[in-house]
Amino acid sequence: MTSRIVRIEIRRSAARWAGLLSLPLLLFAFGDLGRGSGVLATGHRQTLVLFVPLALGVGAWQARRDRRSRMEELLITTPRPAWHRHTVTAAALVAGVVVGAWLVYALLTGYITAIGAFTSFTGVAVFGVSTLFLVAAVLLGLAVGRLAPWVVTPPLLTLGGFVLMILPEAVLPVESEAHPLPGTRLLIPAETGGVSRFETLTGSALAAQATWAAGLAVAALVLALASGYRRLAAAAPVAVSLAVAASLLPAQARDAVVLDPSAIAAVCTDDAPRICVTAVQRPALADLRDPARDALRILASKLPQAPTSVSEAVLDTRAGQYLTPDRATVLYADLPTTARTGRIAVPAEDLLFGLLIGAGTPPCPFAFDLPRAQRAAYDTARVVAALWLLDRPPSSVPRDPYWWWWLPDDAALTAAYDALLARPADEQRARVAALRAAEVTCVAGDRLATLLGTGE
Amino acid sequence: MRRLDADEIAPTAYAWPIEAQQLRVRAGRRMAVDGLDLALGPGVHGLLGPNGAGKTTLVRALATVVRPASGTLRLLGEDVSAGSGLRGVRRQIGYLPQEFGYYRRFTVREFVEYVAWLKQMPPAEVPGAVQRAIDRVGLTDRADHRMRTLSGGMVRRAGIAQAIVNDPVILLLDEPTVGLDPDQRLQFRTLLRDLAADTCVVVSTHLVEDVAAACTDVMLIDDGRLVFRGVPADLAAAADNGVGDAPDDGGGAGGARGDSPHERGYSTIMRRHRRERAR
Repeated sequence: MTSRIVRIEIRRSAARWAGLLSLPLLLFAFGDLGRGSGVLATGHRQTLVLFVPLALGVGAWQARRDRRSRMEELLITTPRPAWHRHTVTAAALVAGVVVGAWLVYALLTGYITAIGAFTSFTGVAVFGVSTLFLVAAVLLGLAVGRLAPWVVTPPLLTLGGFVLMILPEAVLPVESEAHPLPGTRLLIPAETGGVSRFETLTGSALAAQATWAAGLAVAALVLALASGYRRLAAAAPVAVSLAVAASLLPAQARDAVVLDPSAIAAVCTDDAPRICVTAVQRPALADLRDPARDALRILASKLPQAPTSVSEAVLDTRAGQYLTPDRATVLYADLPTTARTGRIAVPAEDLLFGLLIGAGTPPCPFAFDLPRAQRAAYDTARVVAALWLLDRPPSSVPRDPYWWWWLPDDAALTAAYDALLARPADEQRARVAALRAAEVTCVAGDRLATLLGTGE
Repeated sequence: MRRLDADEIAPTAYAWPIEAQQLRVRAGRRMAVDGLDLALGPGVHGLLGPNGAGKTTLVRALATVVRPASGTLRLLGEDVSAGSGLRGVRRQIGYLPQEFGYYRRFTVREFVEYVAWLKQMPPAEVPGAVQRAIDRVGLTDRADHRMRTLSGGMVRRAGIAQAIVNDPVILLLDEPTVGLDPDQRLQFRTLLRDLAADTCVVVSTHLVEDVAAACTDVMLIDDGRLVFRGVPADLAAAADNGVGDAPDDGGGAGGARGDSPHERGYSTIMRRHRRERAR
C-alpha cells in the first residue's frame, strides 16, 4: 500500500522536477564526451553550483504543498502520523533526484562507450558523491520548507544556497603557492576547475564528501520528520559527519586531487614501434599511429639517437614533468583531439608537424616561465627544427590555433629558417641534433642560438 | 460487496457515536459553540443556522480539528476533549471541510486512495473502497482525471468520496451541496439516505431544502446554542402553527418568510429565538 502511495507521490509531487536537476548535464557535458567519463564527474560537479540551490528550492516548494493546497485541515483529522506522510514525500523526492541523475549518467556513459572513449569507476564514485549532495540539498529544502512554510521560502533558500555555493570563490584568495586553498574548501562540493581529465579526487576526499553529504541528509530528515524538541537531534549527524569529514580531508585542497591511474594508463599499439596514448585519449590512437611512425622514421633517418617509441605528452603539474620521464627515447605527442569524439582534430600532416616540433621533444618546463620575447625565440627554434626535418618552407606552418599560445612571428621564422639553410648540409644536421640534445636534457640556454650557431 | 470483520459487527460500547455535554469551542477569541448538549445516533443530522451561528466550529470540533475549550465531547465513546486517544477515533471519521483543499495534480482516484492510506485502512480493502466511494458520488467516468480539471461541483463530490472512503461511523459534511447542480443534489440526498442506516452523518448547510429532503433529524443552532431539534416534519409544523410571532412582513403563514413549509418553519423558529433572547 505504502509503495503505491510512494508511486503516486513520485508521479504527482515535485519528484519529477528533482529528477530534472541533472538533466542540464546532457547539454553541459555533451560536447566533451570524447574526453571520457571523468568529464561527467567534473561536469556534474560544476553544475552543482546551480543545481544544489535549485534542489533546495524544489524541496522547500514541495514542503509547502499542504498549505498551498489548503490540505492541512483535512490532514489533521487523519490518524496516520504526519511523519509517515513526510517520509513518503521525502522518499519520492530522493527517488526523483537519484533516478534522474543516474539516468543521465547511464545515457551519457552509453554514448561514451559507443564512441570508444574512456569510462572509469573513479568517475562513477565522483558522480555518486555529487548525487548524494543533491539528495542532501533536496531534503534540506524539504526540512526548511516544513519549518518555514512561506511563499518566500523556496526562492530565498535557492538564493541563499547559491550564495553559499559560490562563497569559497568569493572569500578565498585565488589559489597559488602563497595561498593554497584549505582542504575544507571541499565541503562545498561545486568544482570550479583544477581537476583535469587525467585527475580525480582521492578516495579519502571522496569519503569525506560522502560522509558530509550523508550527515546533512540525515540531519535534514530528522528536521523534516521530527517535531518539537526532537528536531534538536539533527545537530548530531551534522557534528559527527563534519568531524569525520574534517579528519579525512587533506590540509590543502590540491592534495585531494591526484592523477587517476585508470585515466593515465597507457593504451598502446600491439606492433612495434609502440605508439601509446593515455586511456583517456584512446579514441585518438588510430589517428596517431601512422603520423607517429612517420615521425619516428624521419627522425631516425635525419638525426642520431632518434627516439624509438611514442607516448602521449601528459604534464604532471605537481611533479613538474611528463608522465613518461624519458625525453631521449620517447617522442611525446601532444594530441589535438576534439572534445566531442576524442579523435584527432587536425589533418595527419599537421599532426606530423606537431610531433616534430623541437625535433621531437616537448617544451622544457623552464620554457613556461620565460618572458614573452624569449619564449617566442624558443618556439621559433623548435618550429624551424620541424620545418628542417620535413623539408617544408615556413609558409607551411599550420595556422591551427591549437598549436600556439601565439603564432610565431613569420618574419623571425623565415629569417631563422633561411639562416639555418644557408649552412652546409652537414652543419644543418649537427645544429638540429644539438637543439634536440639540449631539449632532451632541458639544459638552460638560448635554443635559437644553439640552432643557428650564433651563441657559441 | 465487502466482508465485514468481527469487530465491525460487534455491539458498540457506547450509546451514542457523538455525545457532547456543555460543549464550548472557541473560534479565535469568540466562543463560537457555547454550552451545547448533544447526543447523536445513526442517521442524518441536518445542522442549520445563520452565518456565524457556530456550525462550522461545531463540525470542526467533532472532526477533532479543534479541541473544546470546556465541557465534554465523546466520539465513539472516547473522550476526545483532552486531545488524546484520537487515533482510533480518527480512523472512523469522515470529514469534508467547508474549505475543502486537495492536491491539484492528483487524479480523483489517487486522491481518494491517498486519503484511504491516511486513514490507515487495511491495504487489501483500499482499491475496492476507493472505487466504491468514487462510484457512490458519481465520478466513475472522472476517476482518472486530475483534480484540477474538475468543476466546482465535481470537486465537492470528490470531497465527499474521500470522506466516505473508509466507511466512517461518523461522517461530517460541512456545506456538501455547495456547487452541486439540482440533479447532483438529488443524487447526494439519495447517498445520504443510503448512509443513514449505519452512519452518524452530520450535515452542516444553509439549505433548508436539503435538510428537509434527506435528514432524519434537524438541529438549529444560533450563537453557539441549540435552538431547536426535531424531525423535518416538526420544522414544517412550526411554521404551520405560526408559533408566537408577529405579522410584520406579510409573508407566508404566520408572517414567517420562505417558499416552503420547512423554510418558513426555520425562519419562524429563528425569529422567535432571537426575540426571546432580546428580552
